[in-house]
Amino acid sequence: MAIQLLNGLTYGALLLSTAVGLALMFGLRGVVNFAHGALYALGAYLGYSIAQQSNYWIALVLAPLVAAGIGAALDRFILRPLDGRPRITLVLLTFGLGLVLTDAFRWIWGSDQLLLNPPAALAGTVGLAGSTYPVYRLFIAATGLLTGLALILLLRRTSFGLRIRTASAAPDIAAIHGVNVSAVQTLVVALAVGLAGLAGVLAAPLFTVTPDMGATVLVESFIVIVVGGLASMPGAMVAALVIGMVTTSANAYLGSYATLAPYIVVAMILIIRPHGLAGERA
Amino acid sequence: MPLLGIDEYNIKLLTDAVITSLGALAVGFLLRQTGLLSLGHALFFGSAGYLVGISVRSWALPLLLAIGLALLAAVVLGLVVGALSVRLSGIGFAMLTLVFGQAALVWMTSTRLREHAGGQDGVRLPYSTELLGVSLSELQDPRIMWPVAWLTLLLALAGIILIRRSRFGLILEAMRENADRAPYIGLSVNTPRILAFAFTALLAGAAGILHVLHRGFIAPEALHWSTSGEFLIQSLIGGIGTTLGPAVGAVVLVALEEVVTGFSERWPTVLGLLLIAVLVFFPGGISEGATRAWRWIRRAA
Repeated sequence: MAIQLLNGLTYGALLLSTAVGLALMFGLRGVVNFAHGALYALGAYLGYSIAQQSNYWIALVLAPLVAAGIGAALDRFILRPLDGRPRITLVLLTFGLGLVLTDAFRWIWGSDQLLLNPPAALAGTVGLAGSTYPVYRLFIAATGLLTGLALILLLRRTSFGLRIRTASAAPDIAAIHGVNVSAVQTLVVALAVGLAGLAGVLAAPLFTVTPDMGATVLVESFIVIVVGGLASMPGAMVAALVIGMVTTSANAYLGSYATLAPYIVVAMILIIRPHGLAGERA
Repeated sequence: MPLLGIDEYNIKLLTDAVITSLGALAVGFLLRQTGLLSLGHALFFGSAGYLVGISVRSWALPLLLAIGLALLAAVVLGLVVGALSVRLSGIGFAMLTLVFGQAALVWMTSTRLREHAGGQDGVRLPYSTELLGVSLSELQDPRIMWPVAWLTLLLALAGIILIRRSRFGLILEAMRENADRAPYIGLSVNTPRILAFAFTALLAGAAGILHVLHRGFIAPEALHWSTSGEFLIQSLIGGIGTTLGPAVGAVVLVALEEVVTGFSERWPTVLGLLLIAVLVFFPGGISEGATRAWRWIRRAA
């Protein structure tokens, strides 16, 4: 039971990183990023290549930073120039981008599964609740939760967080009060893509690195932000942990129908609370 | 439709294009008439195809019954997924169609269904399959499959044109233009959208049935999100401004895929870049370009 809870926490922590970025981007840009899964995979691939050249710790720091740079470029050179277009055009654009990126992984790294080993310090297991548990999973859970905490502090306690929240709630009024809305938008997209990259490089030693690894995460992050209430960050955080728990405990207790568990949760939420846990009624 | 003296390989390719264009028509019609963006129509395409395969192979049902069952299943799935997805509007709707589409892929390839759905290998129709005395291989012959695919396409087009001219079509457009105002003139907002969605699910389901009959097997790719993406990209590249646009886009892209895969493995890259280029530079797609060119020629003449 304790093991199931920890597994849920590990997976939930990964979903938290990807889903919070999606929610932030949706709140500030009005765009749901369909390339988010591919950017998560990009983090994993970058992590793999950097770790090959140096070591895991450098990869863990560098890969999210490179991803964040790509996010800033995505905002500046693709989303910004097309700002006046219908939202649906931008969404489709990210879908096309995801398609191109996924194929680029096949091109650069091949279609085979790649394996990234956790660093020696995190490789073993630790005795826990009468059995053993991989240290690396604990590391993911801890990193994910710390990231979540840091984000809450950033949004609630810093002036940059205040700027993000006002630019999201009322961009015009924020601009009148001297908030550089477009700079905030670029930084938030960079943050969102950086978080996806972080989740990718964290996940690489846990799963294998494949071109399609982003698809499942994208769909489950969508489930998370729908359950959480689209643009709500606290909603996404809670929902990520809930969906993480549901997915992993369903695997343990529901057997073969387990794969459907997250979809059943989202269907139920849509019936009971269509605007999500934290969403307000429109 | 006559075979037009085209050789068998190319006629089979064109038949595939006609079959795929049903899916593109479905997604394009939905976007144009209701403003709803679907990234999940592989669900209906693949499920209908799989159901035909599984009912014939595992349950030994006659093919005709299997086809009826698959069409019914496509409509029912369309109603359920539609009813759930319309609870979020706009981009939320697109996300949900992708989510539920993925559910079908995950379930169909899970180990529990392996015995029936064949896991990653998919389902092959038995050679003994026959439809009203016509054997599977005769059915797959271009002389039968080519006109059957065309007939289905024409039926689908007739259905779309009838809906667009009907009161129901007008109601759908009213929802698209202003869903907030619709209730004030006594219209239910969600029911027409769900019904329109189920209609397009039926079209995609019919495409899936033709697909499994034509190929003789169905694989998990039919349920993959990239299949839904292809329907959408075909309809956008063809242009959703006209009824025929999505079908034209499907034929053009199937032909282009054949050419590109001849010398490169990078078809998804080409497809993605094409989508981006059309969105940024030619939002109306091929059909708008053709309309403009035609006007220009008429003015010049």
